[in-house]
Amino acid sequence: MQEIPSEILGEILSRLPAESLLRIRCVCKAWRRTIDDPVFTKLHLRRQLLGVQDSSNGVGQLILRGDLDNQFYSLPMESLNSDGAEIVKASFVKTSPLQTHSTAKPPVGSCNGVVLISQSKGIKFLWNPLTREFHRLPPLKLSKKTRGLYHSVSGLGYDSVADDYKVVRIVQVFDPRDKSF
Amino acid sequence: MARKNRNPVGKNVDPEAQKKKTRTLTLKSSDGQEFSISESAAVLSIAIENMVEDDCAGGVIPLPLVDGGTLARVITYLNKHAEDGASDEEKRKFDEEFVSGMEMGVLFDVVLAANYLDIRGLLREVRRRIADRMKNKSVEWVRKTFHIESDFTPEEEEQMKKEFAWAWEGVDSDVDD
Repeated sequence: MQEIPSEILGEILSRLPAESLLRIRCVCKAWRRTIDDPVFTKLHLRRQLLGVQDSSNGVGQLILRGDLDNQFYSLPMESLNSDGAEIVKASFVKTSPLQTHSTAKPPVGSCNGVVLISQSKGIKFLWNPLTREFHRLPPLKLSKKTRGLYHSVSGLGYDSVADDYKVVRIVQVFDPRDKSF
Repeated sequence: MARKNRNPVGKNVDPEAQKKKTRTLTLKSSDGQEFSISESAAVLSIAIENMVEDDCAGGVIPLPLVDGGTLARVITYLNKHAEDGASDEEKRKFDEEFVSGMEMGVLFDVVLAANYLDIRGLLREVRRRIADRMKNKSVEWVRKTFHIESDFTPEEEEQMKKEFAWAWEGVDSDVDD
């Protein structure tokens, strides 16, 4: 058999759900390099986003949050395409490595499938529900002047110039002199 | 490569299209089999279209990278897509059935041929089909199917498996192919 050229292989792999890719990374070093390459990640993201628009592609993944238990579940889009009373199985996903039942919190932001989770004591994580990876963000350092009582809002976005994801946090500080924010 | 103008000034488009339908080309596979195909179907392959336009066809077009069995399949696809009056829905259904019965080895041959002949629609269809077949398969199945030997040590492999252990939960058994 002739070898499949790498650009065709990349195109094929970009149609696979993240879960399959995490397994297939183990096929050989060349495949792992292909899958770990940021260029491939972008191609895969583009396809996944297209898959959300056209669920017949079957690559999209739905992330659900239970309103009673506050836990997250993932569900392959294609399982929703079955017409009948077939039972679809959603699997439980931890939203934080620190998570216990009482600490599960709704995400404060999301962008291209990456979710920003804010926990108590200002601990923040970026969470990729498809690879189930976490990245703990460094704590926010406030200057001396702004120490004390404050409240803040956070959000997550993609910066196309820097080609990176950015967490933006806006802090409103309590001023003890005139007792206002 | 200089391309000839497909619709030279003063020539009507329609007679040219009509001519393409009646004109036949001969495609020759790597194992020497010859196939007749209408020009209008053949030029759905961008590579063949270029050869025809550059006039290097000379009656028989040799395709040294495509074997006879694969070429026959590709021609079935081209004929359907050049068919007069075939609706998009009909073509879509044809595409689906066309790839659904193919074994992985055949899919690989067709994807290579579609790539070489530059037939975008077929390439897209086959890539999708291959991906569908790989979805819930084990690493061992993928290695066997793609004829790949692992270059990881057992320890490295164990480590990677541990890292994403949950991803191994939904794997199908390999028995179906």
